Amino acid sequence: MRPAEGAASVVVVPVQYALHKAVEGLGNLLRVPYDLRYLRAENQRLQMQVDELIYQLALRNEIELENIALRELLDLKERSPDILGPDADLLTAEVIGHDPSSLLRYVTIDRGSRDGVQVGMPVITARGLVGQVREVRTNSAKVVLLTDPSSEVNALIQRSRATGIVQGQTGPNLVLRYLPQTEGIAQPGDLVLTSGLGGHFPRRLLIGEIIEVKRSDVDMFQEARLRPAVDLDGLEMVFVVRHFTPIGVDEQADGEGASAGGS
Amino acid sequence: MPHLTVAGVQPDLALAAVVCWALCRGAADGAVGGLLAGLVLDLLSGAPFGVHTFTMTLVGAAAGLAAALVPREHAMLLPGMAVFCTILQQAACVSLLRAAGWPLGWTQPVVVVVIIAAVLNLLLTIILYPWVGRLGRALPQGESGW
Repeated sequence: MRPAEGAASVVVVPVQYALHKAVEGLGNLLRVPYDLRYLRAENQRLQMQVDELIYQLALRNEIELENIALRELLDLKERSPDILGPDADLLTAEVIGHDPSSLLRYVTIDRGSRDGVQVGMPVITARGLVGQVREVRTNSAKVVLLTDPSSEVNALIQRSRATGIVQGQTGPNLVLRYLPQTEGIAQPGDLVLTSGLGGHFPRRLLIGEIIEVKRSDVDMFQEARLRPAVDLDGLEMVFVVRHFTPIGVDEQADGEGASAGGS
Repeated sequence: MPHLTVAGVQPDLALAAVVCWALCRGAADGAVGGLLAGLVLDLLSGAPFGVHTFTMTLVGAAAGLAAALVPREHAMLLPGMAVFCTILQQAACVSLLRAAGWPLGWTQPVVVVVIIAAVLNLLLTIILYPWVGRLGRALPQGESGW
């Protein structure tokens, strides 16, 4: 019987295989409508999952960026007694608008008189000085940025200790004016800080870095162009300095509290 | 539009919209559009109140008058008015801000800002014109006709 079974299997097995494949194919064909419906539902479910994950990822990135910004601000808050005096009082604010005009450089923040913000208070970030509060409403305030033409800050060059006045000039850069004509007093790469003179701003806040020096023998003063330390076009969160110790005011005299803006 | 800033200058959506509106509707409607846009800008800006209202009304009226003088099909009308109105608006702004005590003048940084603003506003106006034109045609025309 064995040889006969072997011979039969030679014929039967391919037929059986072919039948099996045909039935399987037919089964698959019959399952197509169901599979289509299932695939559509599955596709929809996966698409929703992808959307959700993209959203979660964007949210996570945003939280990470916010975390970095808040860490910088927290770090500044911890360092603030060294820079702003022992009674330093910083208020976190979010930038909610930029000035629509290209000639003026203002931002609107989400803190106003309700939060104790007053005209003249300095506005800073962890990287340096941003500007000064110019107008206050109940829930918001307008901050004039360093780059606005009406902005003036008493400043000093860190390396040479030469003092001058930093002014805005509409464009993205600043100009440091009224520097003495002494050669080498200002060089590209020098850092410029607030001098604190006048009491309007805390001292030792970073304003920017010198990128170009203009010196002429016929002028009484030399001037330098600065790049602001803070990216003023990309501001998101800032600190309003509600209270700081102005330069030259000792703590005893300051008992009643020196108001921000030196007023 | 702070995210579209180029060298510290951003395109002026309000100005582009007012120029397009005035070219479609004429000087009277252009001036009214400029007045409304200017009032909104004055609320948002750090400039003294009225600066944007005045300059945008001027822009609306000027663009509308130009549309009455030059055939609307003229290829240079739209880009020419976008550039001219930007310069007009910035010049009026500088003059009013100077009068209000701002230390502004026609210095190199201001000229650079005006040139960049003119280019950005030109591009924005070209993009915006079909949309504003459609809106302008959809709304009924006023009686004045100029």
